Amino acid sequence: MADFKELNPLLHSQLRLAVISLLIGVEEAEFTYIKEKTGATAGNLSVQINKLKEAEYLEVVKSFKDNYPQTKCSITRKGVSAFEEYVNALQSYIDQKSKNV
Amino acid sequence: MAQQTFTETDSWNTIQEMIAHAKQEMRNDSFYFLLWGWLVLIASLAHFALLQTSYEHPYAVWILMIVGAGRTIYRSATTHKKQRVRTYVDKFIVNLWIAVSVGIVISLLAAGFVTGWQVAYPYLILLYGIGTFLSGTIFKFKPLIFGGIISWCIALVAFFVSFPIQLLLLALTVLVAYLIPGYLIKK
Repeated sequence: MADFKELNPLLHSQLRLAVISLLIGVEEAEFTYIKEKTGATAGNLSVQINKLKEAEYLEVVKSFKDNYPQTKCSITRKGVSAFEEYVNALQSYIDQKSKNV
Repeated sequence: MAQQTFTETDSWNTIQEMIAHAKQEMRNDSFYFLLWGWLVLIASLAHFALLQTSYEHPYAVWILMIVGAGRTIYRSATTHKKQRVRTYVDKFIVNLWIAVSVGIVISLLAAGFVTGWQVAYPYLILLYGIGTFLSGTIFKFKPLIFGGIISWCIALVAFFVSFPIQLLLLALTVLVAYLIPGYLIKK
């Protein structure tokens, strides 16, 4: 296992990884959009987004649109770096696996 | 989405799935290409036709562009309001066409006050080519890329021909760079 870089436990969760992967390609996205694309429940998604926000991987802006609350999420620089590191670590796992096949 | 045993293969699949979702959101919006394509085509051909008659103000047809500007502002404002996700591609495309529009206005002002109309339209065609080519490269849509390249060739020719012929070349430009790709995107 010495060759493997550790996978960031915060990102090594299906929903949190899905949120970050979705946001990496866009400038910002509404909560409802992320919910629809990940297929998660509002409650679970809200919890995971908060965890990512606490780690400063996401920026969350709450506002009102046509009198309804609106939550917009965007990835931070720290989030981008964490995702890049995660993908690189993941790549090393996959490379190692293909060598062993 | 379940949380249990999440392997590195699952991670990879999740990332791929999310990339696929994001790609679907790239809206190759044909509306603006068709709107401006038809308006410029009509105006340039009408200007050419009126030049052949003794009509005093043949350039008056360009007033049609105000309709285009109004419709563009209204549509982009309403679309922006409804948008649930904003991609970097969206932002780039908007800024690109703002830059092209500013370039067009500066070319027209310079032509009106300094150099004369003879050089205005070749520069417009050149700017259309830049906008179309870059839109095509970011959307990875070949008809727009070819439309942009053809526009540049037409722009080069336009510098050497008379003003009425430039109007016909402008009509040809919007046909190949706006209308044909616009209808192909719509399909």
